Amino acid sequence: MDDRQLKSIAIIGTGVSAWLTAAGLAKRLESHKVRIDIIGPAPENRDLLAAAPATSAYHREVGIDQGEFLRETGSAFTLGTRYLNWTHRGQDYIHTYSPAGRMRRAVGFHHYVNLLRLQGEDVSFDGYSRAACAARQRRFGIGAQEHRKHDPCPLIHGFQIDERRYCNYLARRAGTLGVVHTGATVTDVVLRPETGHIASLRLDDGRALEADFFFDCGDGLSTLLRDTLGVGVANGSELFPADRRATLVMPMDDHTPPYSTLRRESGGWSRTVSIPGWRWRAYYYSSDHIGDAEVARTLAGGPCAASTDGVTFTTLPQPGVLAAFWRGNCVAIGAAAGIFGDFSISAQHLAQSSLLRWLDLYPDRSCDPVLADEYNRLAGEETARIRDVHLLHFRLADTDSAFWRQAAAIACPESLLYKIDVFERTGVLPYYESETLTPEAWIALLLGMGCWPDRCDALLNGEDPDDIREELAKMARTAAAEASALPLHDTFLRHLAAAEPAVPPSPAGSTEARP
Amino acid sequence: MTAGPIQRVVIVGGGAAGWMTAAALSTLFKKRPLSVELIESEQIGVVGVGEATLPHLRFFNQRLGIDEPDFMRSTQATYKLGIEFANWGRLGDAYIHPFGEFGRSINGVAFHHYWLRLRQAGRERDIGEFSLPVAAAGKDRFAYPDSDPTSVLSSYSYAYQLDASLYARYLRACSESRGVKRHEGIVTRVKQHTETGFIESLVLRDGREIGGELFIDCSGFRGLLIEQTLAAGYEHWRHWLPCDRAIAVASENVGRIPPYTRAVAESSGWRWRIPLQHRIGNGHVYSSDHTSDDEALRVLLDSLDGDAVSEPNRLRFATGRRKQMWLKNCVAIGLSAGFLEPLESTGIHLIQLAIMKLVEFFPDTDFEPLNAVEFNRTMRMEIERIRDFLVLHYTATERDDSEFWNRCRTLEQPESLKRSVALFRRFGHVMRYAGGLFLEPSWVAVYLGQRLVPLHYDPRVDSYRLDTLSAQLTRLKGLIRQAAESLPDHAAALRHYQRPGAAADGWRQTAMNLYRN
Repeated sequence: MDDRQLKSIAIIGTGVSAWLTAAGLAKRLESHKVRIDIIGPAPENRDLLAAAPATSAYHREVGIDQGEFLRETGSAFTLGTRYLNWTHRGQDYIHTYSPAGRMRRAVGFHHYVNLLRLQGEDVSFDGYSRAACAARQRRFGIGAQEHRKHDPCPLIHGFQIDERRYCNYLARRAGTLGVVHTGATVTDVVLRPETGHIASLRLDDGRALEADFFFDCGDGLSTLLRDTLGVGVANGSELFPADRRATLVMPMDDHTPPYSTLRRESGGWSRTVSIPGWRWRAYYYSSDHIGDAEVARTLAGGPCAASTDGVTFTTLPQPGVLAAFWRGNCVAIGAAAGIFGDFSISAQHLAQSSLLRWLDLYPDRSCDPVLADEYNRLAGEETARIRDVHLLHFRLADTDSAFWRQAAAIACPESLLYKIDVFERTGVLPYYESETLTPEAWIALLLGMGCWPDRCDALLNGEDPDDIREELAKMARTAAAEASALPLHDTFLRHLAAAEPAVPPSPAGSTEARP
Repeated sequence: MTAGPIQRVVIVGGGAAGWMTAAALSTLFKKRPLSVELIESEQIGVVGVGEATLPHLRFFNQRLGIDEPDFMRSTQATYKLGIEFANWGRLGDAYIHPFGEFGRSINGVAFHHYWLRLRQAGRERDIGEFSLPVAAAGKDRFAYPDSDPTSVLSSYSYAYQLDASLYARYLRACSESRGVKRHEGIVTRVKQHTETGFIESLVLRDGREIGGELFIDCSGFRGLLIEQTLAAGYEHWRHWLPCDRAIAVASENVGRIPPYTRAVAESSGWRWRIPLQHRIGNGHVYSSDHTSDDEALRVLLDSLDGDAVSEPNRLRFATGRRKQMWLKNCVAIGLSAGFLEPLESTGIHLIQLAIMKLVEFFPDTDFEPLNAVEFNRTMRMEIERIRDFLVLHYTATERDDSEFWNRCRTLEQPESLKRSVALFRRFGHVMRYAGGLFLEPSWVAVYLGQRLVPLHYDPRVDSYRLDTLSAQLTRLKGLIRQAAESLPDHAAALRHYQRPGAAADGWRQTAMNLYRN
């Protein structure tokens, strides 16, 4: 009767995409008696990740308790991304996961702010949200689940995660659910002659590992799909101006910021992610435009940095995207599917959405190409939209250095140019299928990059600007006051760590009393 | 030209499209100086005897501040839980496409996969038994959905069956009270700017000239402004949807008032039956290649439950879409923008959608061209997705009893639909999209209702014992049957909700779960 069912799955890789896949599959296939193997040596990584709010949804899908996850991984929260220097030196903008503000009427919030801007006022779009205010004050708080339901403007958050601890945690969970880890590497692939599907992997410990389905979750573009199954690659180097990355982990005695930072640097850009006690920074750059030494000094604290010990350099893998993500009985997930930078959306986020899509289409052992085609169609759309998000940064950033002039010259796809153009000239955001960002997140990003529309929603025509000014001023005051009532991010994290029950404690300034 | 706010809008045509537009613009733009004028002629007939709608209309009415009981009384409206399709897959078949879901997904696998396994084992026959609105419709019951999401009575939504001309009249009163100026007359000449071709004014037969900045073409099929004046072009879809004519007639209301619309397939088309409070709207949509007008009328008249109370109204139409619904300073709304037969009650919905998009993209006097470009892009996507869903009704059939059905059964589907059908036919998977009207439960209803049964259900379903699943589904079925039986009779519900003072019960925030994202 159950002849059609997958009986075994092999996952290649031991990075965060691989362990997310392993833990996710193990939980979601718990009642289906599928043997799951994961293959690869334990990786050397000390990166910190900024994970989007979708991570919480993924955790729920795969049965991960939020409290347990936080305690076991020592993760911190993040309310969004702080953008520094993108459109002019000193510019400071927080792109929050929460809505920037809400009006009762059926008009997008940005139109209200834009109305004041068009009247010549100096406005910043992140001044009205509790999330942005809380982030700047390094405060954070979420109520218990039952309170959150009634909160009109909940603090939507992601996580700042120590990748290694996260992998270990996911590995323990996967292990409990029966996933078997083999610390070997793949040396050869054996195909089934009749179907061309993968039959087994030969490992360097001499064993052969058979499986019905294979997940390639390695750090580079999938060799299984490229070399073994003949999938092409769309080269992406012309879309990605950086070829090197330098990272530095530093102890931090300051309050942990509940945000990650994306800063435009002269020779590229840097990302900063923090957890209590530690700050991780990565500088992405082009070796044509800046030398390792200068990058190291920037990371270590500026041109006069006393020491640049601890900075590690890596050459980035060649960017590109597979022409198909699923072929036969093999699917590539995370960086194995495509490598194109690390701005708003990370490879780990893509891994989550890819696995959920695969589970939705769930194949049987025949691995009918109809399912793979649909997967590839959706994943292709998703990838194209994420590429739009990345390229937006190059398109709209200032061009005051050679690197950024080169970045600005990258040819953008029509989909992105159209989106920017329509938004600028009509105030309405064109939205496509398979978008990762919500319309609100797109708008906040465009505005943060200084791309404001020429006009407001026509429904605001006839409103008294003074009323709107007053209402917005009140919103800004309320946001700041509510943010001040929240506990410090570190205090909140300490409470959480001390709490035995899985439910986070209700913090001071809980959401109950809000109108 | 310096850009400034538009101050004069002129609407041509006063059917549901014209008056919905007038009512919406005069309500939503009440704070700015905007004159809205509407030209219509009592000599030009209005299409529509009875019209079925979708749940979205409730939001339109709500935004216009319309009181539900008042609206229902004025339009002779009844509640609608879905559409019954008879004789589509095979002669003798019937199923309801409800405003609600079938069962609930179990462990991340959609409900219909479990049902498919039990069907294969001979233990289940009708997936409609797992839908509350189907069960309620079958017993002529209706009540507002429960707002408690854990209740099975929250698992549906509702719409109306109404008299579209009365709705137009109702909205006319509402519009006029909000300052819309109505001109009785027939447009005989359209004056355009000599260089740009923008419409400047409309000249009526009696010599009056009405100028404006933005013109809304609600003139119906002919597209007085968008086509006859601006030649926006039309994309014909008859190769996918072969019907090209319709006859409509109202009949006496005899007996019960079902809370659903019927769409009965005939040998060369299909018939609608829309029960209103005071009478029944009937119509026959057919292909003139396959039957004569006289025969089509006979089929319609023979099917009436009560005596006809109106003269038959004959319509000719060309299914398709206007290539540019917004061109220069003219926006086509309603039949002038494109025509899809009323098989899934999408007529008023497309009007509503166009109005709301027009408000969103409402131009200034400089007519920034990207407003029109993006408006046209999104409207095209919506209408094409609805088209695919309609085509499915004709192609998912085993009927071979007439030339018409032979043609439908064998016609070449749009590529987008072929992909959807292939996925469902092989694996029971419903293709997903973010922008588009009909979601998974609707596709499942039509696929399964028209015998497009997947070869395979989701393999994960096999991990459960058949008896366990069977018991679980039997319980759910009983729960739904009981819940449906607990609801009041539709006629009683109509009386109850429309009694004076019932307004407080009216706009209950009910779950629109069918249309969630």
